[in-house]
Amino acid sequence: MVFDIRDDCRRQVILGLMGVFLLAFGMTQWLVLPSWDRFKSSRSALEDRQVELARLRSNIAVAAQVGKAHASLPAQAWRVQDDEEALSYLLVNVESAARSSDLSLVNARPLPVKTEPDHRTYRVRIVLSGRLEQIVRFVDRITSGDALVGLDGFTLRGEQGENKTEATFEIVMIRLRGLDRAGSTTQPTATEDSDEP
Amino acid sequence: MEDILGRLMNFASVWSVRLTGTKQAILCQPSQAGWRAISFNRLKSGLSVQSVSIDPKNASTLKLSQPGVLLLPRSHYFIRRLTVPKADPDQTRTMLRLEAQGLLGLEQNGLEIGYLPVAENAGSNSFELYLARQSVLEKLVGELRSLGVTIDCVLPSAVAWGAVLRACPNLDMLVVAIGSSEYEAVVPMSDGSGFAVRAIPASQLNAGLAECVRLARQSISQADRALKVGLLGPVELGGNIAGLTFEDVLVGRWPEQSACLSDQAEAPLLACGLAMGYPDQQVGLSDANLLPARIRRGLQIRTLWQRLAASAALVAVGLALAGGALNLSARAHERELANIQSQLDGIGSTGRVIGRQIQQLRLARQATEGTRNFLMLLDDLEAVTPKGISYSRVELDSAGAVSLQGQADSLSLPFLLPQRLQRRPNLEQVLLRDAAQVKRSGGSEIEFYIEGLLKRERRDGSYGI
Repeated sequence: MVFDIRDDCRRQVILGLMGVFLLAFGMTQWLVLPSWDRFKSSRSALEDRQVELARLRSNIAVAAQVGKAHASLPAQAWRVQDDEEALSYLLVNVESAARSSDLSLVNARPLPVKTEPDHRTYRVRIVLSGRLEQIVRFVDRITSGDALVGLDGFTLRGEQGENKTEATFEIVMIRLRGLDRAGSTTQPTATEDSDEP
Repeated sequence: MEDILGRLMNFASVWSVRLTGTKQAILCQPSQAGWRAISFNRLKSGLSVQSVSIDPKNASTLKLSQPGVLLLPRSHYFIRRLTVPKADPDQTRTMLRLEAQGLLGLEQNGLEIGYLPVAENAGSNSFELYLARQSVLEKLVGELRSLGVTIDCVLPSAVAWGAVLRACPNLDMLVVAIGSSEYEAVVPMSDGSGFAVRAIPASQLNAGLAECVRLARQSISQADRALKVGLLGPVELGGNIAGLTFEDVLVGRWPEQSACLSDQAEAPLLACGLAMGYPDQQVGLSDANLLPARIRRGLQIRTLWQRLAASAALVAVGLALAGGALNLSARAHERELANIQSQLDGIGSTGRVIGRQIQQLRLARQATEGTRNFLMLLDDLEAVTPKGISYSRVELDSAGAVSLQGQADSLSLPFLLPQRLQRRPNLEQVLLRDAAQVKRSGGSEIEFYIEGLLKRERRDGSYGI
């Protein structure tokens, strides 16, 4: 058998290179990658916490302003009622405001209640008929009461032949949850957690 | 890949890496009195040369990384001149080996060859071939290894003395003392293609020298002038030879290094090392090297493994540094995180309560925003609507889209409205979508349809707090 030095060297070089690659692979797998994962997760956690800290600091910086504004929110905004009662309360207010504004309430339809962690939104779609100034007065009355009530869209339509306007409003009432006016946490009742209207 | 492997396994490359770039080299020579060795050490201040005593007592101190070069005396090898057709450098060694075996009738194994090109002709090259028995070489190299010197190159003395003569162009010939019982005489070839080297026993020095002088005179043009003979080592001439002048090569050319020499017997080694430029260069080593193939293979493999081990170490250190740097950064992040966490623990509950209050205030603002938008839109319409226009339908949906439908006395009036509405601070993208004359029972009138958008901050309810 003829021994070829170059073949032997080639085998040894290939073996050696494989050894180097295996070493590099092993070290990458068991040292570098875990370190990289640890580095990435710690950096990400740090960035999140830095953002949170900055947010909380900015909150605290406006604490006095916020406290004052929060205390001025209407008491009815925290009233704890079940959904039917809350919708009924809203409709009573709508009827009362329409009556006092000399408007005729043509139609009123409650819409599904929307529940969020911090609040619930009650909506009714109403159709009113009357003069424009009466409608403006109605809007003023319904939105300046004790509850957090507002408009979420409207349509004004002139009625043929008369100096009257037909107004369609989507009226929204918000009930806040979780914090009362003093800023302390309130416990929601079982009925409050129901999403059914 | 093939190319990389080829480069890694190239013999010349292995020698070059081993010898160039090193700062030390040890040059050894056998003699009847034992081994003689000189160590060349390249320092920042210059070249340092010192004698090295090679014996079993200080073997441990010699196991250094410096490459060892064995200067092979002329009596241990043959010299032949061969002319072979021009061929690839890789094939030259094989061709020369076959030619030498054919010419000299030597067995295939057991012969080591080295060569140097001496002349280039059209279609062929002439080489000076050095041939030595592997058994002799292995014995010498093994003996040195047992004394702690690793030999990387076995250099035929002809190569070394040729370098010395080339470094001293004023000399016509050279006489070198190898120990006390043998001399080597170096004479330029008459055709100018190299040097003839002869081993001369001490007892026949004068006769051998006279023969060399005769040869030397053939190669010089002025046959009657005195020949200048360079001497290396303690050369003891039995009597005067007419027509010769002598010069100590070391004193004539390297006086400073000569002064450092404690034993004149080491002068040949010193002159050889200086002429060949140790430890910076390795003139002619790769081809003239007579190191036996088995030892060469061992060295080559050792060098390869050293390179691979160095690569592996570099990779490992690089990756360990990368991993360490990442871990250090992660640890710094974690420390910072703990610091932030402690701050969050301090202000977290208060800050979060305020955050929820802000959220509730936003909700309250959004709830009242619709009312403001309604009143604002009525105000805007009252302000910009010209005489002759009335609205039959005004709509604002929850997404902030405004649509106006109405009647006008003339077709030009609806075209005025978009611009006027656009100028108001609360509306944008106001466009007249349609304006046309419509027949009614009492005649005809102009009907128009306009669309627009509440400005973004009003749509989002995000302005102010």
